Amino acid sequence: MDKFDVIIIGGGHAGVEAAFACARMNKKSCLITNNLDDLGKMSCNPAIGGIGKSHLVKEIDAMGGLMGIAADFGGIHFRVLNSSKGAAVRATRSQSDRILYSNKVKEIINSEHLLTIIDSEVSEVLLSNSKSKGVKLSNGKSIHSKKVILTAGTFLNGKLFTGEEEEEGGRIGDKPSKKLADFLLSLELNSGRLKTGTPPRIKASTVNWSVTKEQPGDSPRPTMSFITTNKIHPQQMSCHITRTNLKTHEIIMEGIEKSPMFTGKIEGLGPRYCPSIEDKIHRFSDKNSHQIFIEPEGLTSKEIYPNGISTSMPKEIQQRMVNSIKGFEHAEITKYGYAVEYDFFDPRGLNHSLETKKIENLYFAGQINGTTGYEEAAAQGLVAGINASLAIDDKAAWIPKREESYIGVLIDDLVTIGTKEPYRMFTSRAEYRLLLREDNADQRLSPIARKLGLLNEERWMSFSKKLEDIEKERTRLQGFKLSLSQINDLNKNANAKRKSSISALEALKRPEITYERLCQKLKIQPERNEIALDVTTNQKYFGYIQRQKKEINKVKKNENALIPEKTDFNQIEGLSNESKQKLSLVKPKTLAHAQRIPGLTPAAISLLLVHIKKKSIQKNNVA
Amino acid sequence: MRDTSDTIVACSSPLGRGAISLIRISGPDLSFLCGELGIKEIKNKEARVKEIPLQDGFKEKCVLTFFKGPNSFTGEDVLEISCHGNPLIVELIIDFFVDSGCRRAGPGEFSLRGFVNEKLSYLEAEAIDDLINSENILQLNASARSLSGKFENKVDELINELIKLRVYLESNIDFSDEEIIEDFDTFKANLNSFNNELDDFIKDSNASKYLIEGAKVIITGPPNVGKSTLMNSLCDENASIVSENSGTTRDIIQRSVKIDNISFLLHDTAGITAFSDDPVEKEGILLAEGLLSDCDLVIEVLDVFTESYVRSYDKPVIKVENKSDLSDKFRKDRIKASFLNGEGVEELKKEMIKKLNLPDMLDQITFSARSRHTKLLKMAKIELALAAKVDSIDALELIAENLRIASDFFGEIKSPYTSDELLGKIFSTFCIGK
Ligand SMILES: Nc1nc2c(ncn2[C@@H]2O[C@H](COP(=O)(O)OP(=O)(O)OP(=O)(O)O)[C@@H](O)[C@H]2O)c(=O)[nH]1
Ligand SMILES: [Mg+2]
Repeated sequence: MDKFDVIIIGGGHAGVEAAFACARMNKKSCLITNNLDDLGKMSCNPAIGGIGKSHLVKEIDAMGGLMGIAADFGGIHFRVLNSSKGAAVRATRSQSDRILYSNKVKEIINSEHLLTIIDSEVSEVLLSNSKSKGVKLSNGKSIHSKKVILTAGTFLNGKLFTGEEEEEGGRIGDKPSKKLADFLLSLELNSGRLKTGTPPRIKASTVNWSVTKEQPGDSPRPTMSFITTNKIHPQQMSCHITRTNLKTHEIIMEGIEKSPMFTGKIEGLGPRYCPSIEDKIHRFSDKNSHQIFIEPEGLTSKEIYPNGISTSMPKEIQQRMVNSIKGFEHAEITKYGYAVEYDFFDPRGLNHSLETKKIENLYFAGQINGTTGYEEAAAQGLVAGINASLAIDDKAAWIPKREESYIGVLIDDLVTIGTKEPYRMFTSRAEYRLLLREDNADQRLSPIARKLGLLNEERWMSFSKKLEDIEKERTRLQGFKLSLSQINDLNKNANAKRKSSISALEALKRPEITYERLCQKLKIQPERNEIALDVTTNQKYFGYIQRQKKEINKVKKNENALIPEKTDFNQIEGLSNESKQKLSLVKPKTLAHAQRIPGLTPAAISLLLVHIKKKSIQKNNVA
Repeated sequence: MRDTSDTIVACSSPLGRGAISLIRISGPDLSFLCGELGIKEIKNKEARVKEIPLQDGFKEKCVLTFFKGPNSFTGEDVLEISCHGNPLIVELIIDFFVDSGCRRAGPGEFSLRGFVNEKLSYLEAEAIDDLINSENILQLNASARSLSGKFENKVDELINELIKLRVYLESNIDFSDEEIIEDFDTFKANLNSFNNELDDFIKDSNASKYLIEGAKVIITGPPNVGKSTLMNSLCDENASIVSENSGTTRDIIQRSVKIDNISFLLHDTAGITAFSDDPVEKEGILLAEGLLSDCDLVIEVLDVFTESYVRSYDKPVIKVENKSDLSDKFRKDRIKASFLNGEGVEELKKEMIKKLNLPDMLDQITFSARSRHTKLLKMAKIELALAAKVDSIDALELIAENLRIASDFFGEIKSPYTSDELLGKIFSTFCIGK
């Protein structure tokens, strides 16, 4: 008998989300972490959400996950980014107090009775016949389980760089799990190296706030979760903005040869979207100044996080650079910035369920798969947790679809395209962006979560109520007729040439007519924000939504063209070796999936098709 | 689909008598075959004269040219054999190679190999097809230029510009907290100039499409006005039945005529009336309506008795009034005609050419475009025009959506592989040996 259904290695954002999902699906599971304090720890900048990322958080929340709730309990600053743009690309971002955040995470998972949490170090995954059977702890003890989810991939074989100094390790102060790392290397999975960096931290009391620009949070204050209200938010803090100047750039140029990024010591590829300050100055030499967001690290924290000046230059240069910045003239650095280079495993070695192709019953989630960010990690933890649980019940995996969620985009990108730089979510990765709004994540996913048994009654009731209210509001607006002059009234520069009147609902399709003005005109009480937003957006996007749905149906046809499980891609005649390698690596299950593999030529796709056809004809002839 | 691992042989020049015929062989067995012919070593692109032993001691003196893969048309080793242009000799030579283990190539198989080995892009494969089917020097020039990559280069250029526009939008959406240099007005100006460039390209593509594929013309109008009479007089034969009864034409009658080097595919259709009870005639009217949405040019025929007939078309229209011999009164905005005695036909022909809006110098058309290309370009254009209409920076995500769809259409021009039938279609329309 297995002692547990699922063992989760690691208590970061992927680990806790995976454990929480397993518990909700009634699986007896065990989370093993080598430091109980690390549960739900925000090891870098304590921000949750942001463009593309908030979509993930809301989706995790719609699936009944914990990240959104913890972000609301820990959030000390909330803002909606892109607020002037359409609903699809609006994104909520929060700063957390890291202590409040991780306390909430601990509280949530500690209350799950089916979940055991063990403070210990895992040294290896137990294998027999390429299947995982459980784990072995460094004290020699073995624990058996049906499934293992490995999320402890933070900075595997990490190397830290500050100037010309070099040091083994993960985050500063973290002990790297060397044994587990060695074990993973022994599995001979495809791996690569990535790098990322952090800015120096600054003692808050040494900042001259009066010369920085204050950026308060939004009012009214948004929430991260669908089921919380902003009343639960703790005391709020402001962010501040300052900028680099020519003097700063001069100092950086002086030290640039000593930066490990430039001396060639770091091989791993860093994220293009989040370059270090020395990178920015090197690449955009015509810019005289770069923006820095001064972000609070917590209500009681004595440090601030200067977002925008991540660096790995020598300490002495970091100090001078910081002091050259307005407001930081007398700033004291509490921790120097550093770059870290680490291993990840090529996520193309995973199925869409996040189970490794090589070892049955073993799932990978989080940074180990080449992603960066808490949200990306949590999303994978959720998927791995759900699929490990489903597999135990002999049920088909839940494969989130690209047209259904950012989680689907994330998983599909990882297992199909893989990644060369730390993978971060952006809205532009989602081709069906207009359908995937943060505010409708619940409509897209909660029914699925309900079926999977992930939603409690409270969430389901609140979701059902929202749906009902949306329907009511649509019907209400449908009932009001607007005359031609009323419409023109609402819209200064329009001259509607319609013959007949239209309904208030129809009028919302016009770009210039806002919900608020419409309600004023009709002298009716506006509905609460989330209802108004949904009704309005569905009208404003109407034509676009119809089209995206059509496109999805078109793609679905190819999604239905299955590539048989046992296809040997090396047998396909005429295929170039490169194409054979790509196909063998990803092992696409459908034609549509194969088409998304980068670098596969149309010719290769056609040959693949021909091959499948031929095989199926041969099979039919035999039968 | 066929194997791509064996050696194939076929005649690559048109069948029939001519001065010279060309036989092409491609595949892995060429050095073996050369050995059979007694050639020990042959260098890349070297031509040599050799006698090939055929039946009953008959020998044919041929010129053999060898192309070493991957630097050949198919990407494999290729042998080209020029012999006398006699179909019997060609057959005997092919037999010789088949006996030595080659297989007769199916339609389009050489191009398929070139395509599979990434020697040919999809667009080049199409251009080869055009080149071979060219009927006049204008077509020939255009498709030769296309094959040299002119069309593809232009498409690539547009795709790159479109990417730049999208980069602006996407970075403004995904990095709105960063400071982005370019402003919305500059973006709009760039979008507009892109649209103008695309318009010019569509115009050229259209012209070249007419040159290669011809223009699709529909003759429409009320019943019994003389549509079929016009059809017959344009193509100089009795293609359509003419009678004094209204509702004579029901099926669509097709004929192709050439005017000034351009092919026109004429379609005579059922007269359009709201008052028909006859189910067959109604069906004919439906067919005619369907064609209207898929043609390049409309000829609307009325006669001097037609009281009023108002229709609008989203295609260029030529308006004609027939039976001028029967009345002194006629509408001013129409070509006056009497098809029974040929009046107005020449003027109509001129107008047909004019309405295609061809560039002045047809011989300067730099590529061959097909209706597949122009259709996709026009679809992209519709999206971009919608995007250009959005005036507010607040709807960036909608502009971005239009541009995304537009770039998908561009992508489809380059690689239309969404289903297998397409591939089958393309390569089986190639004739053997290309
Ligand atoms: N007098 C005169 N009669 C004409 C002329 N053109 C056509 N007709 C006659 O008009 C009648 C109808 O001609 P069609 O060509 O069959 O007309 P249609 O438009 O094809 O008719 P449907 O197919 O029935 O819609 C025939 O009897 C023709 O001979 C013309 O220029 N002058
Ligand atoms: Mg007729």
